[in-house]
Amino acid sequence: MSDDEHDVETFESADAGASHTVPMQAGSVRKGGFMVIKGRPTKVIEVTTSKTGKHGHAKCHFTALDIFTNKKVEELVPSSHNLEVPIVNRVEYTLLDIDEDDHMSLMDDKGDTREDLKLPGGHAEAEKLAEDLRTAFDDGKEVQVTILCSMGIEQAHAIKEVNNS
Amino acid sequence: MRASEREECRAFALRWTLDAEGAARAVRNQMTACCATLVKRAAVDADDATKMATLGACEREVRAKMESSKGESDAETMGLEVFAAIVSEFAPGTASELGTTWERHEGCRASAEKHFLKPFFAHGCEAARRCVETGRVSDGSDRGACAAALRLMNAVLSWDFNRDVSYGFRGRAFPSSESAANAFVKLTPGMEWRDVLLNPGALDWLFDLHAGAESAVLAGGGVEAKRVAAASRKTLSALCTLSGCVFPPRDADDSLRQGHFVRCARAIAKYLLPAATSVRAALEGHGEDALIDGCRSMSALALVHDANDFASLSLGPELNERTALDLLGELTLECLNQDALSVQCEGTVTDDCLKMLLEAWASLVNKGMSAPGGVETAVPSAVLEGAANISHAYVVAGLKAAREGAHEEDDGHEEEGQAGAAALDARLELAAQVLRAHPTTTLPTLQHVLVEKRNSLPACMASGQDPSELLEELWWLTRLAAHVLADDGDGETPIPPDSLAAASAATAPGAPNCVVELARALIDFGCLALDANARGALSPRLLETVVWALARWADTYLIPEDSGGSLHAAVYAAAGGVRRGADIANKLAENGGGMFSERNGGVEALDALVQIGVKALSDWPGETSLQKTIGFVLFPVLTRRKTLLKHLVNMPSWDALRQACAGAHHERGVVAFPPEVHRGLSECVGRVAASVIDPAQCEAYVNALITPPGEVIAAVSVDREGLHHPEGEARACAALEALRGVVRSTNGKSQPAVFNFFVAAVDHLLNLQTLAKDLGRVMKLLLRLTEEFVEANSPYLNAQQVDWVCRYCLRVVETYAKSGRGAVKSEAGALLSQEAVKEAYKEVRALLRMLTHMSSGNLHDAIIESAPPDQAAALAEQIDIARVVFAGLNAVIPLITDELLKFPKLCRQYFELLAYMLEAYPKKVAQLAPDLFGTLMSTLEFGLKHADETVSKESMTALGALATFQCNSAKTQTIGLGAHMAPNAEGVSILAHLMRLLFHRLVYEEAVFNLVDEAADALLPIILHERPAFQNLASAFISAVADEPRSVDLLQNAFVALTSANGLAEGVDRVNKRRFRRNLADFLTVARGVLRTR
Repeated sequence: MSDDEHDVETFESADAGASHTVPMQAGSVRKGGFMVIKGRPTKVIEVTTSKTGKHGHAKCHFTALDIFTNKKVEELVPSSHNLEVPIVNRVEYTLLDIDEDDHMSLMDDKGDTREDLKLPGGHAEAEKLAEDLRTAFDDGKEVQVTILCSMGIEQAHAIKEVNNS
Repeated sequence: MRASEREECRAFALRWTLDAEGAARAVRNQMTACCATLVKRAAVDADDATKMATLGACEREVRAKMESSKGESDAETMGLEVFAAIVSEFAPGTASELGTTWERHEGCRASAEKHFLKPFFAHGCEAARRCVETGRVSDGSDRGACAAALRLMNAVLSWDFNRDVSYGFRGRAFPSSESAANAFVKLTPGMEWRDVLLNPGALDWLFDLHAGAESAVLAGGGVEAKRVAAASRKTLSALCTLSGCVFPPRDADDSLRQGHFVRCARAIAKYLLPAATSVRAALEGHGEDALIDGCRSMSALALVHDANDFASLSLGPELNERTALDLLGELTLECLNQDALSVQCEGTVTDDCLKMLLEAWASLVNKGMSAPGGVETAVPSAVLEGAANISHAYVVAGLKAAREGAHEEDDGHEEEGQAGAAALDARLELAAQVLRAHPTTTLPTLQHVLVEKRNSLPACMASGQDPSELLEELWWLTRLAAHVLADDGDGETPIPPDSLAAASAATAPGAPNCVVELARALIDFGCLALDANARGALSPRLLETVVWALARWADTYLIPEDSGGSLHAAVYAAAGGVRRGADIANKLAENGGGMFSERNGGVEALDALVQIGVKALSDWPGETSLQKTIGFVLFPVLTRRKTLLKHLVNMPSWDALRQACAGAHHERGVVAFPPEVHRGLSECVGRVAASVIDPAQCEAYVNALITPPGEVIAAVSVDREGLHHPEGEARACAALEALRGVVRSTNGKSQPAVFNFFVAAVDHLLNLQTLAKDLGRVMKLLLRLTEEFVEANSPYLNAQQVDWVCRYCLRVVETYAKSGRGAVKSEAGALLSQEAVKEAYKEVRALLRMLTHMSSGNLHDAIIESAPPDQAAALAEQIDIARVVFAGLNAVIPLITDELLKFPKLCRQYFELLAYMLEAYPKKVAQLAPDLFGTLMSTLEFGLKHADETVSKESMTALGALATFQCNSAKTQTIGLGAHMAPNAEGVSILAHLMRLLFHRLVYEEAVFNLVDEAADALLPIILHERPAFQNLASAFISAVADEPRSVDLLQNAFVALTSANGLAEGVDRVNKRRFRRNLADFLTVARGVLRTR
């Protein structure tokens, strides 16, 4: 991992090392799908195909966003080859508390709680999300936090205010 | 400004223009334009006599100045410039706005055309001629007068004589752009122009001048020579487009027209021959315009005049008795020789010229088929032979260009996407028309080259050489051959091109038929894919084109439904060629139904095509573009027609395709091809079910297709983990796409099986929808599937099934609304949230479409038809479709956010649905809860203000429906909209409020004339129902101009006319609506004139 990637608040979960990815043919990875580029889970925002020379085989050119750092990355893969697709999960928690060193206290729908995740950060949009989270929480609203988990990394990804009234 | 002030102003501008010799050119041009505008402004309000007087005054001033300066000033030039500016000012297309109504512009145009266009032209002619005859052009002492005179003539010749004089009334003021589809506009002055334009000798000086000027330029003439040359060339081009009733009728005296044609062609020949010189000059950068103008003129001449004129009229001894056809041929060959087809030349002067020259050829060879009046005249053989020569040169040049372009790293067409490919196809299509002209020589050439190149492929591969050049040649040839053989049907029943059909029919029995032979060569080429040893030679790009070409050919020729050729004969007969059409039909019938009919190898060819398709799917893994061509081009063509379906159902190769489709879902692990290809294939396979006669077998056929993806859905719908696993998601997507394909192929025979499947799978589908709330792709496909299911099944349902569908749809909408998609407040990343908005857009749009399909008449009819007449109404009341749709809307409307309304398609979809619902179920609207009604009305208000024309029109239709309902119920003393009509905060009802809104838009905003009809339909019932509110509105408008008594009068009269003119009566019937439309258009012309120009 490069230095700036260390800046991102992430959490390596206990099952790191288990299989986090599955192989899939490059030609069937679509816009909106996920793929691993340079060891990071990314979401594909654009796929174009081209050929090596006029009569060569098709290659897919992927433009993707790192799902945690939001950084744009690109990759070129022959479309008949396999690439790795990360397993991406979203889990929704209710936000219970934010402590002084920015750890969130979260409760899942079974009532179990966890306090090991910090507010998102590391790039502007994540900071903005953290800001929104904190504002909503300070306003006394009930906030649902979606945690994105992939390749052993977990990070708050989206928030939703629950309308109780 | 008062008229006298304007007059002073104009006189000043003219004097200044004439005097200011030293002023910069730009300033003088500006002043000329200003002067012209003032003349026009004076003419707007004046009658014809005053207009002529104004122009006369201008002319007198010019003359006076000329005489006083004795030719030593620019007065003459400037006078001519002023006249040219006046002409373009009077032409509506180039006029300044002047803030006045269209009708007044139109009046100026009409009087100009009638009174002073011809004198202006004569004046220009006279001036130019004088310059030429006194020799002042050649020594430059005319001070630009000659060029200016030519410019005046050009201004007159670019006048749009085509305009219908009645245009500009009734508010529909803007001509459609389609009339300018040709690159040039035909010049069609009336017959009163005959003497000045056509009389022998009338314009001879011009042709001489032109020739002289061109040679002066070639000899290195100065700026002035170039200017004269350019202006005279432009005049010449305009003369080449001359057509219509200026020529005497052909059967009377054709010599004027022929004389004109020869003069024009000779003039072009004089400066473009020898072709090598002019083309080289253009390539070197001087004389580009000359070449392009010349080629455009040739193409114009070819369109306007006869093929016979081209072939037989000699251009004179100084041109070695060449004909215009020789000239055209020489130019075309020279362009081809200069590599006009190569990639580097794309968009350059030779490319453009070649295109225009080929257009000329195409219009010449097509003359025989499209002869007006039904009289068929054969195209002269010289033209056909000329076309054949060009065709051979085209093939040679094309192959050369293909070889040279083979090593371009990226093939351009992919980089530019479909636009690049479409441009190439457009070019080939044009060439194909020329290649078809003489099929008996060009088709065998194509076939020989194709076979020869194909045969050298194995050797090339074996020798280890780089096959790129050969592959590229084959690629180009295949594409060209497909264009030559068949037109793209473009939604119509494709029939063989006339010249090819005639050539086939003329072939003696037993002799090789050139059309069939070329098709054979193509199929044979495709069969390379079936040969395991040779397959490697076919690159994906080449195979894709071969498949595309075969599909295009099959659409036209493979087992045509009408094997006797009677369809073609009918079409031919309708076009006027009765005898020839019948001949072709008879000939084809004699030969056992023609080429590739059922008995003549059609079935075998079909089998070969299916095999090629299946092989290409399996043996070129990862080539998505190729796979899409198979799934969306080849197989759809093969499953479009009944006769083909009948054979497919029993074909082992088709069975193999079915197995492959079903098997793809069973495999664990990687799904072999992209999900959308699943959709295409399933749809094609599903269509074949229509030809399975036995219902049980048909059901089995559909079940075999639908069960495997159904099992996948069932499995993932109970397995959250599995669904969120990438593999599970991919399989779910593939399965959903496959189901969509089957649903889209639903027909009368397969419908029961499809419907039963959905009844059985409904819980799985809804479960999946709940689980997939964070999987955008799955969600989108799921909603599209439901939408398409409703659409495809609606024609076949009975009342119980309709009831089921209604409940199912409602559950889908509710589940979606509950899933909270689209309600994500903030998401990390702008790009990602944009994507989220797009996803939400697609999903909501699918829901809206689903509701639209439900509201379509089919479901309602199904209920009515499936019950005895006396119970139908009760049943329709019981299964209340409208209630379901409104409930659905109630759930969907909150999901339509501002961001989503930015997508035009979604916006249109919504207002289309709203308009329909208000029209079809106004009673139900009246029963809606106040808040839902309020929401609907605020969306309607949004729509009425929307800039998009469709959205506005739909909203107006919706408003009209609502108002008509209210108006009618007031008449019948029923409750109507009831409490919904309560006055709002401003004390007016919702209808009155929307009426005011609409009036304001119509009067004050731009581009409203296209909306007049719909707006009138909406306003009429409101005005009738809300008299007092309308009165208030009228007085508000009138008080806005209270300080100008004349405007008040105008406006008052306009309002009175609006509600009374043209015999408008009470009531909202068809006749009244039509009258009111006219009234509103007239009203707006006045009201906008008074209220907007202030």
